[in-house]
Amino acid sequence: MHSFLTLRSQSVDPATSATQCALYAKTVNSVPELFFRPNNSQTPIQMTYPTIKSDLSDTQYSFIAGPMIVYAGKITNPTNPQNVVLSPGSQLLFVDLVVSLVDEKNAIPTSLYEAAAINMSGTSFDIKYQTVITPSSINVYYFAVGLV
Amino acid sequence: MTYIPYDPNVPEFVSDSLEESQPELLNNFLTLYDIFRRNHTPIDDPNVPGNHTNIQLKEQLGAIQTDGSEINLYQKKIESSTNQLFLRHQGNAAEIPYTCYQIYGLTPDNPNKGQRSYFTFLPGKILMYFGLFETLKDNELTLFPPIAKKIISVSCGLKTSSPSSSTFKARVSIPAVNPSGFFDKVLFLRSIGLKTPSDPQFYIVLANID
Repeated sequence: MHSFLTLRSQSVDPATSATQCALYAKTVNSVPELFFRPNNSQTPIQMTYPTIKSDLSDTQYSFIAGPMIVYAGKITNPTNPQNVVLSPGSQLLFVDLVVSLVDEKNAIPTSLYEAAAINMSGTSFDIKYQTVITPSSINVYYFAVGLV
Repeated sequence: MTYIPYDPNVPEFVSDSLEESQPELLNNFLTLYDIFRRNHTPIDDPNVPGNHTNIQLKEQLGAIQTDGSEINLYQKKIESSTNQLFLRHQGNAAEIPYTCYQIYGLTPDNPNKGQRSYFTFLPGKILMYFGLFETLKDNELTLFPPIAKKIISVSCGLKTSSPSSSTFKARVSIPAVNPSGFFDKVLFLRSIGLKTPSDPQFYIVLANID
């Protein structure tokens, strides 16, 4: 049984036959990353990214195969609009915002509002929300996916 | 499968003849052959000798040293969970939990009509709950398994065939942790008086379990 798997960077993608797939390392931006190649030498898929931010803070990110970066977090009391720049990454593909009112169950607002991501550019977007009323405190959750 | 025990003391003496040692040497070669092919194609395979067929990893007690131009995969136990796959980049970078916890069947005992719940993990012990609900009892979406230490983000969207000015997605509120110290609910609120959304909603909740 293997104790662990240490993979040295390969200079070329290994060929795979109809009944094979391959797991290997290849260097991307000077960092060896894990790749998966499906059978029949189909397009290799990068499985890893150099960093994650995973803790109990309000803003975190991880990655999915591709690779793409998945961002999630909470912006407390944003201005309207408020610019948000996510890092790392190069280009956001998707951003969804959801409003959360602080202690809403105890202080029900008298109107409704939503937030939207506008002016998306690179890894930047602006939070814009309806201002039918001015809440005393508002949080906006974001969920975004971007390219590395 | 049982193996003939490998004997490292063959030949036992410098003076042993090949004739004496041959049966033991053959046994050792056979053992090596059999053990190798547990997770490799046989070394005498005419097409792909020695290719890995699967990779079984023995539990490690700590992070594995990773030098330049290397990447490491290994498994070790996560406290209060099970053994999981870890990833470590070159230069002994911070280790990344590549898999986390275990995926198992969801509870069928759900108080909410039409709630379909799924979950998976992203690297870094980030838990992603997602699914669909129609109506929520007390506006509460139940998160299962209840292991979230931090709700990072909530996302939702309407599943409606007739969008109008009244079909907007919900706001959310996060109730306090349960007595066990975990977040296990999200409130989806849609209008004055905590009215429950009338249209089905998709949702994604990202949480951290660390």
